[in-house]
Amino acid sequence: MKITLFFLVILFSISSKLSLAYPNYIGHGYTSCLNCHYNPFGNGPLNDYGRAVSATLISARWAYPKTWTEEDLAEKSGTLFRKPKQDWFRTQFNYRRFRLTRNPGSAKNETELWLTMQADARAIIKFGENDKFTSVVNYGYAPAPLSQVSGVSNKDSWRSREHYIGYKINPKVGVYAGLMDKVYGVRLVEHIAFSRSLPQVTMNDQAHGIAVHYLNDKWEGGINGFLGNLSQEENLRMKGGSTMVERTIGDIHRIGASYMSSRNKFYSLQSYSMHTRLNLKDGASIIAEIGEVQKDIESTQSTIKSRYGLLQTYLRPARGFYVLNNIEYAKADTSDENYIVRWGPAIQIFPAQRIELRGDIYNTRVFGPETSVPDNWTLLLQTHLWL
Amino acid sequence: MTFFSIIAVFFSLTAFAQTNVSIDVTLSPSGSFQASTTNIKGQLKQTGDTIQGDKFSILIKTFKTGIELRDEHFAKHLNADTHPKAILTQFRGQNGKATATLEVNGVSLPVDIKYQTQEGVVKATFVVKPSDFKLSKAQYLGVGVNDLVTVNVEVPLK
Repeated sequence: MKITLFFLVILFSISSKLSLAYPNYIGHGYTSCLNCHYNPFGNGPLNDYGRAVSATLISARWAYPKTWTEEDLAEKSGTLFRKPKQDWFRTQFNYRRFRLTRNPGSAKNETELWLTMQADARAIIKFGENDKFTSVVNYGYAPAPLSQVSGVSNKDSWRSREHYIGYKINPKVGVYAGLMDKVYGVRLVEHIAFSRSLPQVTMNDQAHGIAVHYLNDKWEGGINGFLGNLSQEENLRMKGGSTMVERTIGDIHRIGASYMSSRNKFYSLQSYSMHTRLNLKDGASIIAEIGEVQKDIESTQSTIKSRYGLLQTYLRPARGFYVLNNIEYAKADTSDENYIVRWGPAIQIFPAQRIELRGDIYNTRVFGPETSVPDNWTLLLQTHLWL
Repeated sequence: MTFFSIIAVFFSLTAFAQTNVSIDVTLSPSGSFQASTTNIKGQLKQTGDTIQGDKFSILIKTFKTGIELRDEHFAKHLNADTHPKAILTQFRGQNGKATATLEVNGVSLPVDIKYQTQEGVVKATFVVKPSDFKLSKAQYLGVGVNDLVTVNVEVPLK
C-alpha cells in the first residue's frame, strides 16, 4: 500500500504541466472562451480579439515606449508584430519550457529536470463574418511521459493536438468536427489537475468527433460525440459522448455541470462534475470544481470510483501580474480511506505580450489512517513564449 | 486598536458617498464590462417627497472600463472629441419614478428612471439604447456590444 501511495504522490507531483486555457479571465468579465479562442470551449489558438486582449489587458506595458498607444500594442499582437493584411489566414507558434525541481533545498533529495513541454505550430483558415467558417490545425511536440507505463514507449513525439473545422450556423449555434479536446468541466491552465487527469481530459486526450456549441444571454453549453483519437490503436480509443452546461449568474459569474461516458476494449469511464467560476472584478476570480469518475475494468470485472475537488483563487495586483493559489483534493478509490491534497501558491507574470513567466510551489500530501508517506515538494518554473 | 481604526475609516468613507455613474455593457458573443466614473457635476435636492436636479454633466473621457484600450474605444464610440459630455437635465422624481432628458452624442432624448433613496443617497437606474442616440454599432475584432445598456447613478442628496 505504501509503495502504491508513494508512486501516486510521485506521479501527481512530477507530471509536467501545460497551460491550455485561462478560464480565470472571467475575472475580467469574459464569461465565455468564445470571445478569445477559435474553439468556443477554450484552448488552442487565440483569435484576433484574444491576441489584442492578451497585449492590452493581460500583459504589462512597462517594457514599451510611452509613445506607443494601446492601439499600437493591439496591432502589434499579430504574429508578424503588425496587423494582418488579410482576414482569412492566421498562424501562431507556441513554445513552453519548464524547470521542475523536486524537494527544493534538500541536500539529499533535490532533483532537477528541464522539460520542453510545448513547441506547437498552428494554422487557421477562416471565412465569413465573425469567423463563420474556421479550420484549425495545431501540430506540435509531445514530450515523453515522465511516468513509465508498461508496454508503452516513452519517446518524444510530434503529433496533431487538434485539427477541426467549425461552422457557426448562427450567432448562437456552432458545429465543430475533427480532433478536439473533449467537452467536459473547466479547461484549466493546469492539465495535471485531478479534475483533468481523473476524467482523462488532459493534454493528450483529444478525440475525433463532433461538438455542438450553444450560447445565449444566460446559457452556454455543448454536446460532444467522439470516436477516440484515430491515430491510436483501435482497442485503445475511448469512444463515447460528453456534455457541459453553464449558466450565467448575476451577469458576471458562471455555474456549470458536466457528464461524460466513454469506453474502449479494456475499461469504461463515467464522469460527472459541477463547477463554478466567480468574477471578483479587476481580474480576480475563483474557480471551483468537484466531480466523480467511475472506472469499470473489463478484465477484472471490477469498479473503481474516484473523487476530486479543486479550488483556485486568482488575484491581479497589477497589470501583467497574477497571484494564484491552488488547492486540490483527490481520492483515487472512494472505498479506500486514503486521499491526496495538493496545494500551493504561484505567481504568473506577463512582462510583455508573447511572454509568460510562472512559478509554482506545490506540496502534495497523502492523508490516511495507515500512511507515512513523506510530503512531496515541487518547484516549477515555466517560460512560455508565443508568436 | 488597528481593527477599530479600520472600522472608523470604513464608516467615514461610506458617510461621504461620492456621486458616481456606472454603465453595464453586455458584450457579444459573451461577457460584460462596466464603465464607471466619479467625475460628475450636478446635484439633486429633495423637497418633500419630490426629488429634483437641474443638470448633471459627465466628461466621457473620464470613464474607466478596466482596459485602457477599451477606455479609448469607449470615448471614441461616443464621439467624445465632438461631444465631450453626456448631460442629464430636468430630473424630476417622485415615489421611486423619475423622468429626465439625456444628451449623448448631441442627441437629446427623454429617459424613464427608477430610483430609491437610501441613507441620503439616491440610487437611480435606467436603460438606454445607444442606437437611439445615433451611435453606430460597436464592434472590435469580432466582439460587439449589445444595443441596450443599463446606467446606474448614485447621488448624495443635498
